[in-house]
Amino acid sequence: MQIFLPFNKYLLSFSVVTEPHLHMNPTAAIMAPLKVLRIVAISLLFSIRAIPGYGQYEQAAILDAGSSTVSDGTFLRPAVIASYRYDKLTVSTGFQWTFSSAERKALSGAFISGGSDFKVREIPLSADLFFRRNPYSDVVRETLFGALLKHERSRLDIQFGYHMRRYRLDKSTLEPGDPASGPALSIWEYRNFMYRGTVRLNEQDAPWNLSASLTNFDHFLIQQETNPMVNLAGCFRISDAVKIHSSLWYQGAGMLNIHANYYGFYFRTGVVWRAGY
Amino acid sequence: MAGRILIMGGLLLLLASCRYDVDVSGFVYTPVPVNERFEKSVQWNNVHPPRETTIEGSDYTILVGGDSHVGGTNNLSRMISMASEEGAAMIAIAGDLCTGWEEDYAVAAAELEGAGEIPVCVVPGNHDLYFGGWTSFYNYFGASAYTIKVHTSDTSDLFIFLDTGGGTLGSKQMEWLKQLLKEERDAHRYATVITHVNFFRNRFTPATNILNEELIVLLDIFAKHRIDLVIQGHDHKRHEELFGSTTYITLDAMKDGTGNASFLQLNVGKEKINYHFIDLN
Repeated sequence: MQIFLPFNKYLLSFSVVTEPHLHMNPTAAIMAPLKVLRIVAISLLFSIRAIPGYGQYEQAAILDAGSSTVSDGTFLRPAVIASYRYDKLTVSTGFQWTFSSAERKALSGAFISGGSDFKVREIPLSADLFFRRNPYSDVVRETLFGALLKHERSRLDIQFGYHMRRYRLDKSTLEPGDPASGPALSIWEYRNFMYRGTVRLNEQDAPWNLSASLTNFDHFLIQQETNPMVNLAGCFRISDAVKIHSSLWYQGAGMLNIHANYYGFYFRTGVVWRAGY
Repeated sequence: MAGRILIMGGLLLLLASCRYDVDVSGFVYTPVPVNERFEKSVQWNNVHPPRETTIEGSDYTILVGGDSHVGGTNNLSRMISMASEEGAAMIAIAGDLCTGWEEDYAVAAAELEGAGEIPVCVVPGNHDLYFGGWTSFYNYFGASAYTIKVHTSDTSDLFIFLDTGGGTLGSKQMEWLKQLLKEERDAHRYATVITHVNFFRNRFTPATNILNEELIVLLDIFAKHRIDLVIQGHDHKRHEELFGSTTYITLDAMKDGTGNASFLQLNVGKEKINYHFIDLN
């Protein structure tokens, strides 16, 4: 499905990929790289259209490697994220794939977000609205809508947000005579809080940095507010246009109000390329 | 400002640590992780006979309660009395039976002995694991993850008890659950899962849920294997959701003095499982 959005003087295009049934069988393993190529191509198209404008195009490629209670061994999670910024406005889109032994869809997440910078009593803030879709299997998927408010200082970022989550079952799971009908195929969670606090060693635009965060969300994942994640990150600016970064994420189960257990971790590495330099 | 927030947070933790029933170390650490508890449970299950019960006819009653947080035993005692009166086929406790202190385990276990011949099945909640409570749980009740089969005159039903006292099934219990459903689900009429931590956040609450990544896996396998009922505790406030062919029920707390205390009565029949809450106030 191709979507065109009017954005300033330009048309930005991006695609929402509707994934066919795809498990990690041999066919899927061949298909998955083709999907990656397709998305990269779409992202490049995005950049080509955006670069001639006044705005700023940024593209990130990241790779997570880790394990968790449900990954059935080690998982690999590549993702691409493209952002376009014009003056105070930003629009972003991203796609993520998960490769593991667990029987699940390869395309594991997609999002679109848009937001703006503004000031309240001279305090700089930015607000984002987002829509995320996380297919898990042929049977169940997750959809999230929400808003995030961010305040950045030179060595400290604070983000708060709110989202609604919907779990959706495919109607193929129903059998004749089941009491469930349309409404019973969805469960909504309306009251979910998001937060992130980040502290940095150096100022934000320094050539290199180290940081630590406590949060319940990532690019493609939002945990419940009672399940925070901790991450330690570092980044290095190779040039004005290119920055590399790495981070280590620890996920605990039941931290802060239950009998805490290890749940999982992942190591992330990636590169961010900013056009126009 | 940040300093004030830290001080307030510290004070709140200190206040929480003064409570008799909250082990603050459990917020960040467990001496016996869920994979270790599961391994001990498998060992226990391997050296004990399978948990099975046989009832006459095809209909029977089961009582399920949770969050009794013994100390007090008034509500727990009333549930056990009703189970005897109704001739219940089983009593199930969906976690937080007690505070985790050894002396409270002793009180709770003595109370449950009042059930006589009725099988009593317990899973641990987070509070049961506080203050080194796993040792007492294991001594009194054995495995924390297991199945019980109820045989009727013409069929059998499967009840699966899962240990989510640490907010996660852990990788080993998850694998066991998947294998169990694959191998055994189709051999039974109904399949019911009983565990402690509630799955869905239907309200603002400090109560932790199963992590979202894990929850979606459970929703997937419960839908594929057509689990009939998933009964949970932890949130202390009843909630019911039908999701596909699976009904997810969160129980009220049974703790003495709780305003909305209740437990659940399941009437298992040929056509379906009916349920209703028995109010204790």
